Amino acid sequence: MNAVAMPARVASRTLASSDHKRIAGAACMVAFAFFLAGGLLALLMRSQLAADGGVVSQQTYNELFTMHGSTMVYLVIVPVALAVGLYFVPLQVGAAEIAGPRVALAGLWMLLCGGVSMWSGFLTSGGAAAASWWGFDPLSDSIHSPGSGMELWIFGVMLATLGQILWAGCILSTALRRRAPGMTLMRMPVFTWTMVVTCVMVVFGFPALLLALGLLWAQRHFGDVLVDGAGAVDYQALFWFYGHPVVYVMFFPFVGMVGEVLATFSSRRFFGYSAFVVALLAFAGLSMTVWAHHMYTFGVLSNKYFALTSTALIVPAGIEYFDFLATLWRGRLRFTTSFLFALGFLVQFLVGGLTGVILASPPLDYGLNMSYFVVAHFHYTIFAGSAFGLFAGIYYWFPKITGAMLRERLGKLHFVLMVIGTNVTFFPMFILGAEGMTRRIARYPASTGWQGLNILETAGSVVIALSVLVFMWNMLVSLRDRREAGDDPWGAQTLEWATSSPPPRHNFHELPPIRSYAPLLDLREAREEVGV
Amino acid sequence: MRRAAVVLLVWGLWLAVLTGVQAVFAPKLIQFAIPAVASAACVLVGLVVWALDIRQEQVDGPRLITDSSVATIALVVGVAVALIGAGFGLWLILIGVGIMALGLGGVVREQRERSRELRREGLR
Repeated sequence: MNAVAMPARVASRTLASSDHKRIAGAACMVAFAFFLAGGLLALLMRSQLAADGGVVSQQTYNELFTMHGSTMVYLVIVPVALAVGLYFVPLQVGAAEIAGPRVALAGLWMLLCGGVSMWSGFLTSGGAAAASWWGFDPLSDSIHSPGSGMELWIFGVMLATLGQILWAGCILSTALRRRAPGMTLMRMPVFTWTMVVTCVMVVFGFPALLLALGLLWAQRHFGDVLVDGAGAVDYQALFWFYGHPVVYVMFFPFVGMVGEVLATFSSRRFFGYSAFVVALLAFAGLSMTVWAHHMYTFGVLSNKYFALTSTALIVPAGIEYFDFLATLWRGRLRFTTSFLFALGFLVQFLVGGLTGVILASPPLDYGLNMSYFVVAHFHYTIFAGSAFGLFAGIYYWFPKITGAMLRERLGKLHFVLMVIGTNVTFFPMFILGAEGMTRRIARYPASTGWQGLNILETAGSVVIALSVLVFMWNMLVSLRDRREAGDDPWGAQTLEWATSSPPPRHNFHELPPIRSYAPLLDLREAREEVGV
Repeated sequence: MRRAAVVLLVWGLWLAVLTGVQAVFAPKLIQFAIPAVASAACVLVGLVVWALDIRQEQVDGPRLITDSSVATIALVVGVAVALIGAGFGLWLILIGVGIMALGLGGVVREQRERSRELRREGLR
């Protein structure tokens, strides 16, 4: 094979493949590249705040936080959450492939085109979009945000979102209509159930964003679409009908990953499976009806209703936490890196969740809205929570995907650095927010006395960056100097571990009997009973 | 497999109930309309899935499909270029539509190839 044909073939196999595992792998690589880019923007912002506003201008700072938020939400966490589902849902339900493989491939390329479009704004004369990740009208209209950067952002977000809707359709269809014989709905693994509710939310919630962005584009070009105050409220209503459910889209899949990890490494069946499934469905429904708590301070929608639904979220969340803890109770715990990240998720997400209860109350939200308290809250949910859940999943499933084990010692170093970095970066934000430090300001007066904590936060962000470098080093070392994983290195419970690592093109050569949501555990227990 | 639709129907109805509760709080039309449309869409899709499940046999094994599809990529790139063209001018839209047409042709070709293959295998 000549020098041109070889890379072309590799590119074709990686980027044009209709195999759900390759599509998911490529999506994760794309998302990881954007994660590094978005992380770099975060480091620049932290440098700005540590250097007392002396690194970039306010306009550049606006572009930085807009592109950081947009990248992390539209191009990293949501795509990764769905990509993991794209890889593992067919395996967990015993399907030979994903439903609609070409549609899934289209989703990958929409993500790629969307990301390139958003980021190419930096190459335009007016700079990238600078109206925050929600692009509110009138800040994002042609008067306040002139230039191509905003246009490219609108189209980029539209493409990435459309791709996510396509993926969600494929995953949902696979889980509901492609299950192996014996795999009834109430035998689907915990992770698959979390993907089902996630995908339902994506399919029926995300189109609101496409509509909002379409209206925004029309407003920029023709005017008189989002007029006066009502237009801005309508845009926000449509946006937040996407914008709050997306928080749960960035949460549920990682809840599922953590559930799988906790059950496997405590060597116990997942506790309260049926209650967990019911709680998930209730949770997903509620999470589609809390969106206007982002608009409390507008005072034009029914704050009481949204306060009620936002507070009611505690009930299903409490059931899920109870199930997690009860799964651990009296289990034979194995403190692997994956398990540690899952524990990190449990503890740190609790901080994010409980501070969410504070923000669910309109009187308290009036005081904290647009402050760093909110920034701390959502970083504790998305980063300290979901990202830890994601790493739990990565350390757990990496052997299945690659056939090689990640190094445990490096993994634990990664975990320790990430816990320190995360809490040093984000916890002081609660204090600063409570003291009145507002978001999206490039420079604060010295008289506020916030500089010390800002420097501490920046130091924390450097530790996070260091932890990511350790993780990358771990992957590199583990792939170059392979320690073979075998089919099931953890003694896991679900179907994906019943096939080879990595799985073959059509996933399984044969399937074990499926009599519960933990078929491999059933097999082991049956063998123990007969003394094999 | 008919229970698959139940997930969508139950969830859609649950969302409808939560939307309905708003009535007590004198909602603005938009805060009522958005979740109402979402719940109606979910129930509708649930009913469609139900109908499909009654009419169709479930597909268990792998289906014959091309292992890689460059045509799909061309189709998506065409859509992206045409969409971005909406902000930059007709010339870019036309280029996008052209790429889209190429991609669509490729996808149709792949589908016909698949049908031929299925006939050859005696599966259809």
